Amino acid sequence: MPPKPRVSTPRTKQPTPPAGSPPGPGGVSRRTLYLALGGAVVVALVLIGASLIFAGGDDETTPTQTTSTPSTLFDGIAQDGTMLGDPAAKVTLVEYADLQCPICRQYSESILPTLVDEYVRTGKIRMEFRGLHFLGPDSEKALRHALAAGEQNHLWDFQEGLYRRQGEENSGWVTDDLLREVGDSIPGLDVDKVFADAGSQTVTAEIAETQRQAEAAEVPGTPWFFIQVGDAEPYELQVSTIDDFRAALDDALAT
Amino acid sequence: MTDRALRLALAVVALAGVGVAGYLTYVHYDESALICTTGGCEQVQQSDYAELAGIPVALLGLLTWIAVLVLVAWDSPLARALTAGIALVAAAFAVYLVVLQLFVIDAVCVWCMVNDVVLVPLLTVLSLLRLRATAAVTSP
Repeated sequence: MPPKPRVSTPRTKQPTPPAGSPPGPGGVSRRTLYLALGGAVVVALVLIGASLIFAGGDDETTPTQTTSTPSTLFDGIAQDGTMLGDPAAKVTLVEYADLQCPICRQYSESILPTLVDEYVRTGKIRMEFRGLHFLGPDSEKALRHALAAGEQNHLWDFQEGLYRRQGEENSGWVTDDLLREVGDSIPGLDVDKVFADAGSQTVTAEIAETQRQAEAAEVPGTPWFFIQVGDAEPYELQVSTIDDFRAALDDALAT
Repeated sequence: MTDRALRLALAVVALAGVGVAGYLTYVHYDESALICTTGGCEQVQQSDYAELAGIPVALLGLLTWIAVLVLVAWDSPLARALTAGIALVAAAFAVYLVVLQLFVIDAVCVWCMVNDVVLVPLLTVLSLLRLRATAAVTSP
């Protein structure tokens, strides 16, 4: 659609330029050439203008402001700190995530539930959440509270609740009210304690440790995945679809 | 460079453009294509500027590259002039997109940069050279 309108100027009879105007490139008259050039500039300006107007115009916020009904995704699955699943499972899927990152949310909505049902609930693998906060202050606030919920073994419920309410990046969407709403939707979670623990030394140290691990593993962005089999060194995954995950996990389980 | 070489180079650049823009379009639509090589991709692809009137900018790029490819294959004086025109529009828009990434979105998407900083300038230079070469042949 972008390039079409520009060249409406007649350019069909190049071989015979009108008298008085010297032929330009391609045998096209200089006048036509300037018209085309001007046209190109106008089209570019229109495109840029449209982009600016449309970008400023729609402030579509949160894609999924869904329900406050508690999630049943992790029901009956053991949660221990940042871990999810049977401690006896020898394969661990490690995820580096930023709670503000839209793609992390998409993973959590479109792939995670299937993986949980097929691999975690069946005791085949465990999952580990490693939270980063490179996107901005909302990331850190969300992460601190998620890790604090982890101290009560509800990190996975908490991160899921946050993703479901994810707002626009660094818009200040991680408010105390929102955190309390997420906390209240998780049965058995002491929300006041979550708020108290969010600023604790333990949480700060945990964040610093994850940051160190991410740097050591050269994690380039989020979400980013590793598989750890037993005590072996974790290895990086190149995955994007649910089938990629299945293949990688089946592969790890077969070793 | 001969016109044949220029034409071939243009075709290669346009094919690369189709590849890059095609990938970016795919990523834009496929919710699960979630891995990106820099932390910035998601920010760029999810920003307000990733779409223009509801059409993904990546798709506009893809269509433009396809148009260039068709024009290079067609090869007439008009096609050459059209290619150069498209190249000029693309160059101006690419500059705008780079400015957006660096100063407005504050995140850089590697594949977008390959398109904006490598492929589009190549397209512009090659198509203008080609127009000039043709002029040399045609003019008295």
